[in-house]
Amino acid sequence: MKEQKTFLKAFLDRNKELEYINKMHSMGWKLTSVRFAFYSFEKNTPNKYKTVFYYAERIYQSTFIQTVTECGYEIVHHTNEGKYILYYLNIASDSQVADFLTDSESKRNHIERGLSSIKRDALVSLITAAIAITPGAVTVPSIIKLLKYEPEKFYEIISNDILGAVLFLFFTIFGIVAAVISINLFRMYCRNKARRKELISEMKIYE
Amino acid sequence: MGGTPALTETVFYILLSLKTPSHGYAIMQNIKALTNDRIVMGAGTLYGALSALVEKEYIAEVKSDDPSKRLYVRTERGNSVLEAEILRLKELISNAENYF
Repeated sequence: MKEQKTFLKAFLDRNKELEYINKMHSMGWKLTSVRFAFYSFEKNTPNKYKTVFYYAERIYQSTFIQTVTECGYEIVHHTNEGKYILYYLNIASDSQVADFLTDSESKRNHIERGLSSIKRDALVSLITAAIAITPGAVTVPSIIKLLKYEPEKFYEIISNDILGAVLFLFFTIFGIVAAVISINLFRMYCRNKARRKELISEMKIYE
Repeated sequence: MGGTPALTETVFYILLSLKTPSHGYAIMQNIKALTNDRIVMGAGTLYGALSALVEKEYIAEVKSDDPSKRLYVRTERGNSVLEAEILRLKELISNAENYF
């Protein structure tokens, strides 16, 4: 049995995630599975494989699996994303098959599917941030006032309800993290949208 | 512009290849051979085109002896679309030859 390793990693950006997986391939670790943020690899020859990702339509899942398997791709299921399933596809680096997407229309569709995924994640993290930050944001002025004019009373409140204080702090930090994530996701969304615009203009030349 | 919109090169060659039932990889190889290696289609592009053509009912899945292989063939609708496209291309060539 080949040596296996599992790493815990968190990625917001699919392209960064792909860079990481392909870096692992170059070091001789082939991707075997992705579960949440756990990436499993097995020992292999360095640079033997490379990986691409693709959002396949759930209703044509079997067509997808058959087509890509026939072409020599090994499928690694990533996540179910609404009507699409995100797959990571390993292919031998010396394979003679063409790039996975070879026309502008497919590339544009691929970017659009990625865009809707980013948009959904960004909205979820924004709502989470708003819910988590609101109590903090509302009470911060009162806390500052209390700390400034009646610090003893503030420490008394804290010591009387240490659990409440910890929870308050936790939710505020959690909310700030969620806000940072949503800002980054929106930035990624804008970048991908610009790429889609470029592809559309490329396509128009040939219309 | 009225009528069916012009087919993309990918769709045109897939329809052309599916005169008789064929499966994904064979379609790719056939297109590669037909175009003397000019069009080398990616698996993702082929899959996207196949699913779109099934949805439009230009092609349909047919039963295969090998259950692991899905075979596709051109439908009546696919035939009409391809015929219309060939007529359009002939007109293009004829106009080009007359006026170039």
